[in-house]
Amino acid sequence: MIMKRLFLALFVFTLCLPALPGAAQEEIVTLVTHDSFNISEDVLKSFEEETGLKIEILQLGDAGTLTNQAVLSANNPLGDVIFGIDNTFLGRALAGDIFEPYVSPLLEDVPDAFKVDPENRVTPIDYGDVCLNYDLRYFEENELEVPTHLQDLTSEAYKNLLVVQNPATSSPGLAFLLATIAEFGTDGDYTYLDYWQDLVDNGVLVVEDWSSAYYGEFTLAGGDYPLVVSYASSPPVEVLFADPPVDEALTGSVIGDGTCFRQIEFAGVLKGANNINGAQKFIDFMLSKEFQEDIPLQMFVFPVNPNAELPELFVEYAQIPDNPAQMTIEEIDAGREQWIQAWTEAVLR
Amino acid sequence: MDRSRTALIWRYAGRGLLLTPLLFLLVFFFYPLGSILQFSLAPDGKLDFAAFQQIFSRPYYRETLWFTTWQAALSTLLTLGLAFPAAHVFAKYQFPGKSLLLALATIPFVLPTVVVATAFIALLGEDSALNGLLMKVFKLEEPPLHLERSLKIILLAHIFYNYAVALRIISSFWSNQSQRIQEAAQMLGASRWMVFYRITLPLLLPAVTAAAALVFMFCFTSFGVVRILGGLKYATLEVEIHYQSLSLFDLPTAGALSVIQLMTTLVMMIVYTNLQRQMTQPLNLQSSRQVARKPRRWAEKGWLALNLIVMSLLIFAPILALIERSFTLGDGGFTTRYYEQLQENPHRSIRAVAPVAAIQNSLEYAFFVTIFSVLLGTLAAYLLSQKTRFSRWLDPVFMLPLAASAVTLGFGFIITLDEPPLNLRSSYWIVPIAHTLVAMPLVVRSVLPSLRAIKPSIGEAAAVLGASRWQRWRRIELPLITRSIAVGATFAFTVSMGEFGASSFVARPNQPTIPIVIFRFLGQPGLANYGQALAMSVILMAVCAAGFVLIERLNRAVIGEF
Amino acid sequence: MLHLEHILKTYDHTPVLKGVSLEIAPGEIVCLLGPSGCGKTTLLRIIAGLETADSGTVMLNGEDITHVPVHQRDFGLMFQDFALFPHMNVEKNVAFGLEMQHKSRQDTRKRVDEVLGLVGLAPFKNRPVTELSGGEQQRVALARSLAPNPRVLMLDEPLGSLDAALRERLSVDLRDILKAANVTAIYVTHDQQEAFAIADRIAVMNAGQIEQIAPPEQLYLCPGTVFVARFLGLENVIPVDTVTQTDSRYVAHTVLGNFLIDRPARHILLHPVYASLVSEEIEGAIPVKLVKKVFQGSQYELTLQHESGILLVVLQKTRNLSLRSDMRLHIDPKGIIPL
Repeated sequence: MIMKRLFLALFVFTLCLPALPGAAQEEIVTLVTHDSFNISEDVLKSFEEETGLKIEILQLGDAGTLTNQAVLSANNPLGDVIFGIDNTFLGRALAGDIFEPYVSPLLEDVPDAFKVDPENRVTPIDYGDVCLNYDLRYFEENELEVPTHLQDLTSEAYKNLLVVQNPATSSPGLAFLLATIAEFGTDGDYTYLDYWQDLVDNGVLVVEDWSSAYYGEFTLAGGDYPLVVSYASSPPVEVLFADPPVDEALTGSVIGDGTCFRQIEFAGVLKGANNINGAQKFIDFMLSKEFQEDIPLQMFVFPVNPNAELPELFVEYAQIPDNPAQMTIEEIDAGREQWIQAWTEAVLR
Repeated sequence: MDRSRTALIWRYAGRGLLLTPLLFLLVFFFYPLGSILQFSLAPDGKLDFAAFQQIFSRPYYRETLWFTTWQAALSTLLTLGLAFPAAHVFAKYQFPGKSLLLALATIPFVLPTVVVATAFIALLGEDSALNGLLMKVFKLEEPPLHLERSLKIILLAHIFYNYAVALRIISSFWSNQSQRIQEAAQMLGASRWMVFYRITLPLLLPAVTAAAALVFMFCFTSFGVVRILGGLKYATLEVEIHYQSLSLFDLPTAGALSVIQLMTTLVMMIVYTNLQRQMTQPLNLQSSRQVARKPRRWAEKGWLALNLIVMSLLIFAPILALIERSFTLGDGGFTTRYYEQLQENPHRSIRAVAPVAAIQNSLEYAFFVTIFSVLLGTLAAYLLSQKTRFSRWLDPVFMLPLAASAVTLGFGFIITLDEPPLNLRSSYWIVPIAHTLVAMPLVVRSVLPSLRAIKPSIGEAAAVLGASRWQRWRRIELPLITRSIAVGATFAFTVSMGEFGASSFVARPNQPTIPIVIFRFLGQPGLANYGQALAMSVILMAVCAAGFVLIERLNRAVIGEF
Repeated sequence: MLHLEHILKTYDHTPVLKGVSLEIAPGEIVCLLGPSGCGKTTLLRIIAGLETADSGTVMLNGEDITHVPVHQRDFGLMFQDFALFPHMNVEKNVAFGLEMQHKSRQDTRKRVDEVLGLVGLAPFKNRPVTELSGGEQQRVALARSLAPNPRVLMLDEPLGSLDAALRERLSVDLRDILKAANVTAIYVTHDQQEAFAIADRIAVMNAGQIEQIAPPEQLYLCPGTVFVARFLGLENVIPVDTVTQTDSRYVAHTVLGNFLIDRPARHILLHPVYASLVSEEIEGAIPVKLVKKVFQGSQYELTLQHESGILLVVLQKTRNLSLRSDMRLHIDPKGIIPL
């Protein structure tokens, strides 16, 4: 008896499971993106209502994993439109020939600095600066000067204070490595590797990923390191999620010239997509003011459209570097693997 | 239709059924893995050995392989050393809260490494209470424990994660071992120690080696623990594979390393499965109820207490530290606000997911994974328990999914499961399938020792009494292996709830599970996010504990206690 | 000399042994006979040291061994399910006890061959025990418990799992082997035939107590209690109404008539061995009718009914008896046993 009832219950449970994919009637656009993609419900809904398209979201790990998987599936794409490949990995994606060129009418408003691909295979959507963050309270209590230059970090004053991420596994880690390469170069008397050697001598801690650094080692979360590689948007977000709420910043960004690296995130229509038209509409949507203004509070990055209004929180607490490190897609693509390997050999092994 | 023909059809149907797990492996493991390896190592149809040559020419890789192997061996040894005495206690004594403790001990299996890391640091870090206490007691200037980013903490975390695997597999086998044989040895003049060494241990070896093999596999392919807790000084082969395939996108090197990892483990598994086959003897299995009793003498009570204390320090202290932190994070003392915040969605984002929805998603996956892996795993165990050359050869093969690099397999999925009828890349089912690949070997290893220990005469006796093949299975064999199936089911459920590596490289529709929600919170700055990540981890533990208890109940309701 | 003194044992408030005392001489084979649940296995396990008694002492040759741990007693125990070590072959099973005594390899090999010869299993030395038949396993188990020359050998229903024919043959073999080994043995069984075949003395146990202990013949011919009589299959137990005394003797008044007995009793047993059917009037013969006749090969088992309704069972060789015929039953005075 008990047996029968149990099996019946299991059977009913199986039937009650929510309808599995494949039931929708609307025209579908599949968005392939990384795990950090986010958007307001209302904004997405209004797009869907306006166009009659239904967006299906497929999340594929971090930006690096996303890029690799997109390249692997070049012949038979996972979806219609991809978002989330940034300038540090873009070269790999372009080489993989995964995009269908598209020029959105809204691209006009975007500053030329973000338009990195003359063939218009990808469309810039947002940017964010990877900067050093520091714990304001710690710096105040210890009467420490905020560093203004990367070289400062090798001085005695900042001994054992900096935690960074492994550039091989972490996107901000890679961005920071690129910033040091842009600053110190790869040849000459004092290369980026010499700089890193000095950082190591000065007690830099390298950890696997952003979470381990920010929540494991940063003083704000109870760790021992008051300087961490994070984003220029982290200070406002820190305020946003402060607990209990605060009205002044807890952290600041180091924005001295060349200390930050600017990541630009792109969207693109995937070659061989089922719904190219829908994919293009979605890219237009991502450049629309509505979406652009939604970006800061959902993904904690900045919109590429200068006309999009920033939320007050970002205006008040975010410091934007005037001169972040510069490097072209081609430069990055030519050097990336080699730099990571050289760095790994020099710093980790 | 005449009877003998019906019987023949049934026999073929039965054989076909036994082959389904193999088919599952072929389609969802060997085909994707083979394709990606071919894609990486022989892009133009010709095998290119350059990557292998390069790997073997560099001492770094040899050192990595060596480190991977010995740290896994050492972790396995330590885990078994601690879990084995506890398995004795759990098999032989009845005490209040036993099944709850067993459920709690399994919880670490599901916890994300980053979360565990914070608990470990809180307990054992330089500024921890323990170090403070040691400094005070021994009047030290410096904190005596330096566990952060050390080999010790890797070992400790491996024990923490794998303790329950060893405990459950060994104690479930032990609890069915007949007391009579030990008594016979005692009568022949063997002291307690001699009985253990000459009789109990040899008879337990099948379960001990099964547990050892699983723990070894988990530690051999360890990734998060090594990198996040151990620090970047340490690298296993799996770490190298991630590095080559994700960071450098050097597929030939990654592929070659994957092949080396697979072959190394395959060789070890061949040795292990052959050993186990020789060791397993048909036994008189006894009801676990009959074997377990209350501890009577003081020595027994002390032994029980000692084991429970070790277990508490090892497993429960970090768990409690986590729970404590989820209620006291920030400066305000005790608070439940992180749990309350989980319900809110102040920014109305599509990613926000109510805990209930995440729990539902997780349970849904776990439900399918448990069903799939118990069915496939038990069938596989039957296939492997046959005494044919074929199953002897297959035995190590069924362990391989544990040895395959998650990222390699994930890439394999991307390039192979993209066409009908296997157009699964972006389907709902890809996640349960990926989980089942990891969970199935656990079920196989749990069930196989018990299955081999059943005396053939028992089934024959039932057959003579007129029981059909089905009745024999349902009435005789199933009750005898039900404890092990429950153990396997618990692992399958746990693997799915904890989102093991295999699934983090497959595409997933927007159906966030509890671990994904935890990772999302941990990906953003702000104490509230951190607090909610901890709260969600506590919820994950609670859901898992409830799941274990349910599996235990279900097991008893369906089959009865054995 | 094994000496048990007032052994008490209680499980969950149920007394299992209620003060058992027993003496066993060196080289003697004593059977503990009784129905299941009478406490015989528990008594055996207490002697072995596998259980501890709540009170009472176990003495061996004047030495108190109550608290000596099981493995230091030098006792042997042969289990009902044999409990062979499944991971060892025949030789290793048998050698185990010798190894525990740290015997030299040479001595061990010699002794193993010796006992395997004794039980007739010499050619099976290298066989895995899991491949043996029931009878062979039984003999391995016996050889294993005999090999270390135990001071006392205990056997817990060792033939229980075998078929009747094998059991009968082996029980005789077993006695020969035990006698040849000249070992003190305690043998637990619920089968009286087995006990008769093996034992020097039989202790009949009931509800945690020894009802009677005696050599098999004496036990059968002169059971001491109603329980013992009934357990041995002696059914002619007649309730006594009153007892009167004459001189040094007593008269038991029953529905079947009056019987002379040598002590007051509440029942008397009319032993079938001493019963005979007679045709002529004999003083004290009981008038009965034959109601059932069962052929048993060498004799008949006859069920006779007295006019009061009481049934009596006797064994007779006589062939030509017809049902319902009136006859008389005479009991030899030796066969009238007060209970």
